[in-house]
Amino acid sequence: MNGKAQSTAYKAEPSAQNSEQGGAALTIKGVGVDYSTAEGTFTAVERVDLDIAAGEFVSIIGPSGCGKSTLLHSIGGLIPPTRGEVEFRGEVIGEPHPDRAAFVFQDYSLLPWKTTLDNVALGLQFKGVSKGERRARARDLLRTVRLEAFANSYPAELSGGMQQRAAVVRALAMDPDILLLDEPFGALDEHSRRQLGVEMAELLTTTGKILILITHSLDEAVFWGDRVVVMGASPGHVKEVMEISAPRPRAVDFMLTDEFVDARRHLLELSRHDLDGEPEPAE
Amino acid sequence: MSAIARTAGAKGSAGFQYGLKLWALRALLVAIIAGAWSYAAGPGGVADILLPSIPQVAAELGSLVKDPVIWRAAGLTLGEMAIAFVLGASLGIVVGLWAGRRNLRARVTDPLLAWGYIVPSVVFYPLFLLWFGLGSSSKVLYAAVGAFFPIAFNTIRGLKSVDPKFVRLGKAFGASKRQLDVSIKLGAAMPMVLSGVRIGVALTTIAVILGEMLAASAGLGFELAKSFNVLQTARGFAVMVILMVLVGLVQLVANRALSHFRH
Repeated sequence: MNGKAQSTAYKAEPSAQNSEQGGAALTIKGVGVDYSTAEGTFTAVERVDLDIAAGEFVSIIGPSGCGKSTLLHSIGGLIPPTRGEVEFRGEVIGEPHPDRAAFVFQDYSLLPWKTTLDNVALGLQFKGVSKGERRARARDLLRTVRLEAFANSYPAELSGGMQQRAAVVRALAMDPDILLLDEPFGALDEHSRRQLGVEMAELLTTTGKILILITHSLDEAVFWGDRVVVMGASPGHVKEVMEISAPRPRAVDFMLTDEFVDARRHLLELSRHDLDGEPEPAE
Repeated sequence: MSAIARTAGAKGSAGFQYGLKLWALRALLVAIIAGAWSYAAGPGGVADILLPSIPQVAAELGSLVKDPVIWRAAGLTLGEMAIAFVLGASLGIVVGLWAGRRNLRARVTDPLLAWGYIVPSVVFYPLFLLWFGLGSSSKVLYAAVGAFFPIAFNTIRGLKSVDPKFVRLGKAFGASKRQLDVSIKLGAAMPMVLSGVRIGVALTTIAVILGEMLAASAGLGFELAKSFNVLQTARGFAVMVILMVLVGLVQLVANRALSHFRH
């Protein structure tokens, strides 16, 4: 469905690998997730079908309880889907594989008893990379987000924005094909959130990786995504998929363009229509 | 960052004055206690046999520190403490880790350990005397029990209360089951384990001294009880001072050692 060539600086992916899925590198095929609770079975995600091309950024937005985080965890192999499957280049993603899909979790996901450096090197440590090598690589990555001076600081000494920058490069340290961002800037104030968002979106665009961003913020969804997937609740389902054609990386000025404003208005109307009373927690 | 800068700034002259005031007030407090003691032990006061004067205690202390008997006793007491702590702490950590790894094990052992922790361990002491005699081994084993319970209990509690988001993070970044246990769960449980160890150190010192006081033939606790039993009260006070210094040193060393673990 989204076979259109993105004109920006993605790494060109060999088309042979894509051809099988008609251009899709990541295929979410009829994925549904049920939880069993004391009261019975609860359907968090009913059914989601989504094809994502190499290098594509997809934002997922929706009200609380629409199962968007659950869907993201399923894509990364953390929650096995009850129905359907997630395939990357024809291979089913079962267990978490940080080399394939790495997470950036919500606020304060750094381990408080490890230094920033060792937090960034965490995935490499689990992979068995030697201490010297993983620290050297982590140090290089910290430099890309201007945190080299805080390599030996503990997370509590870092601001929320700095912690999330470290969390982003911790995911990059795995050099994954897919980045899964679960409301990564949700705990920041609006100003740092926008600033960091713009900076991180640019940094991650240059990597050419697939990126899926879960967010509550309409602005963030439109700013980051080549597509915005709008989910509805009870049970979680895809309501609409919206294309944002502006090339990435996008500058802050993109937020002043008609495309941005129109897309944002459309999303706002969508969320207003069927939330009946539940306020959209955007912004 | 600004908080750090502010703390650093406070170490200037205002901080120095505050420190001076702090120490002056502490000295005053000690002086008040010493004054009250001197007054009570002074002319027309309490009998020497109940409350010796400060110079009498100081004189006793002076002769005690030259007495090899006391040094041998102190060495014995310290040795018992060290062995008991190492024994109880290692067993406590091993059992805590073993039980805390699996939910079922934790739930089976938790009430038992909590109970062992709550019950004053001195109730087990007569049993240890019966089994191991009046010598050092009964003190060591009894004190090891005192160290074991809080450490085992806290280790399990720490492992049970690991924030699930850390576990999820570990899994997401490819941790094996073993790596989850060692790098994530134990790391997260560490503050709780360390507080158990801290309590364990304190309980070990208490248990050894108490054990020696109740039934022994050597050690500082024994010397303390003996001095009071034969109404050598000044000597008893001097032994008390030695014990207070000794336990203070043990705590100091333990705290220094434990603070390294945090980082």
